[in-house]
Amino acid sequence: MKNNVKLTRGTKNLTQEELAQLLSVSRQTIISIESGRYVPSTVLSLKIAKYLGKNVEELFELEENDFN
Amino acid sequence: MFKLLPHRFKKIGLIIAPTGFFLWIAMQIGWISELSNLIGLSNSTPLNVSFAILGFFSFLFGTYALAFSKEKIEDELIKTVRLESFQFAAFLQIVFIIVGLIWIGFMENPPKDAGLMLFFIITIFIFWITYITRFNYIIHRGILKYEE
Repeated sequence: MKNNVKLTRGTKNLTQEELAQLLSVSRQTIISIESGRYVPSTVLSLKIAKYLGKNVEELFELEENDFN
Repeated sequence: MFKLLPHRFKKIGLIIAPTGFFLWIAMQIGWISELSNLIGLSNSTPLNVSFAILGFFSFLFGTYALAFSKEKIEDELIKTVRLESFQFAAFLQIVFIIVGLIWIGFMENPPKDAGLMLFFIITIFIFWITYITRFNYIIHRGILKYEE
């Protein structure tokens, strides 16, 4: 799965720390999500989408190998 | 629900665990016997036993504090990594036991008593050291690389 969290966060002028505080998660979690090393839960994905003002589908995209 | 220790215990564990390990090693290599000679004790055994117990239990409690302390923020990523690290540590411990016992079985002069006890003590601690190392490595490895 790929995501546009970093790009979208940049357009909102939010730092990783600021977004982490809004979502009540650690900065490590934001870093891991943005680098693609961690796929957030449904609840966290919805929260990220809410605070970044986008739909979940705009932020997270399935890739070919996700269907295997 | 299982309760973790407050985050401040992590720092306590970081001090106590290596200190305890150092004391135990110091006893094993004879430094405590030398110390008891220096201070004029006729029998170094009580001092050695004291340092062995102090060192071992300090290492044990320090390891416990390191393994079961909360992170500053406990979120879903931390919980996932904690679980994965437990599984990895358990797997590594099983591999260590199997390989170790096979190796001992094929030895010409297999260890007895103290040697076997040392093997099983190491087996116990392999789990905790692996868990603590992997957990902290996974959590902190991204910080330097992707930090803004």
